[in-house]
Amino acid sequence: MATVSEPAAEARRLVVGPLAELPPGSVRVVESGGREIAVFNDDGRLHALRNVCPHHGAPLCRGRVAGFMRTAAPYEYDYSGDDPADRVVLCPWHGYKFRLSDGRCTAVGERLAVKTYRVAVEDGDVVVYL
Amino acid sequence: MTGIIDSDVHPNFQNGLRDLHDYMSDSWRKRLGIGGGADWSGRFAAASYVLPLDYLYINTAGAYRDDAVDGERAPATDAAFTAAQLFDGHGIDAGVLIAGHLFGIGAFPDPEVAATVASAYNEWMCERWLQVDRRFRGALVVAPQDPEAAVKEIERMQGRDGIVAVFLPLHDLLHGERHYRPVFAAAQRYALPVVVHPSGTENVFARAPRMAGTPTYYVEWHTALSQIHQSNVLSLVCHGVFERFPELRYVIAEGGFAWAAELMWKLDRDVKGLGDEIPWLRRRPSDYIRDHVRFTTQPMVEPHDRAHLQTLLEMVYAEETLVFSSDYPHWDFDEPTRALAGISPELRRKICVDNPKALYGDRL
Repeated sequence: MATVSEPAAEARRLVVGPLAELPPGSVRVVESGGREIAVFNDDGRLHALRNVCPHHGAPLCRGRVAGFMRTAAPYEYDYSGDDPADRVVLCPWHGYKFRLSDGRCTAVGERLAVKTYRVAVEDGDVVVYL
Repeated sequence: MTGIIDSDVHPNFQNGLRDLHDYMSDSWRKRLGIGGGADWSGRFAAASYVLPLDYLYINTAGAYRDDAVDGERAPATDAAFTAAQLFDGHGIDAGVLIAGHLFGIGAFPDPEVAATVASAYNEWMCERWLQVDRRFRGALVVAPQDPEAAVKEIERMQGRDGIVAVFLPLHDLLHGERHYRPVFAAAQRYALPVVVHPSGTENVFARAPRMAGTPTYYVEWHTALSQIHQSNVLSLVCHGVFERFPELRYVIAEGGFAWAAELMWKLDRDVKGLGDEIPWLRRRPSDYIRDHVRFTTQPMVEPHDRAHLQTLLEMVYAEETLVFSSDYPHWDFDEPTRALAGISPELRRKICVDNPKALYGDRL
């Protein structure tokens, strides 16, 4: 994991770096105006989230990316596995799970959410729009 | 206030199991050593077959209200005297009977004994109490060791006049376990809340519910009894029992309620990180507790600073979750006006009247 500093705090378009340096399963953190943004490559799908857990502030870039147990009938388990819609990053401190797709915590009734950003690949570079 | 409903009143036997003599078969009398003539019953070991109680902890306060003794009659052994003292004496309009001497039947090693004693008690309660004074209501007792027998007993008794709940004595299995599923299913089917109460056998008998460690003193044991209720509430929520039985109501009598605040907060928080283990919860744990669990008030908490009481009541959603109880005729009896002093009249009305009405519904 590498940290890339970007001087222009007001920039709307943030270049993270070459896609080749962000292979599947990796994460990079970019900084802009004091904000850290974690960019995950989950099996070829790119996701950019604020790198701060809204619970106690842990760095989400240090968390595992995985599936989670979807709501099921009592005593039944339904692991989301590789389903792109239900991939989460687990907070490295307390295990709260945030969907990579929309930043929402998967816990029932939980309002916590992590801000997400649009991410794209342009001319071989990973770019985040703030 | 009128219409006060007391959710924890204990009818007692004057002569132990012998009071159930007329309510069981001759074969079962022989099996239990009840009756059969003093000539033999006094000489044989079977005659001392007793109900499991906390024989090892001695209540120096005497266990009962001294003024509940009526001549030669032990406390709460006579319906008319009890009705006069409790209902007329304290302005209470109805009281739910929870078998005063059967708290511990979950500790009987033989499930058949427990079920037989439970059935006999239910008949005794109907004839000697519910039919004597209509202000009494009854919680029909079942044997927790044998869910099938418990369901049969619920089916047999649920239609009797005055039956408003099922009393499920505690056992050494926590209540979320599938063992109890038929009992909860039957309770829901017949719109009967399930009532639990300290068993009096905790840590004394092998099949009794367990506490952490073995308290030395009665006072220590008595204060610690809420441990079991906490474990049972956690078990019920985590096993998804309230998902399976969305109409089930679970009433904790004499188990305290202040602990519920931290339990709700802690479990709500824990499932955020640990929810993958029990992914069948479709609501926050505290939502299930708030909707499905009711707490009787006695022994009412007495915060050092009375101003804390209101906050505490809000923390546990008292306006929905609390129902008044006196625990008559026990030594730690709560009198309705004194015990609930300091609570707003609106909330007192909910605790004493509205919440019990909602809990027992049309059966009341």
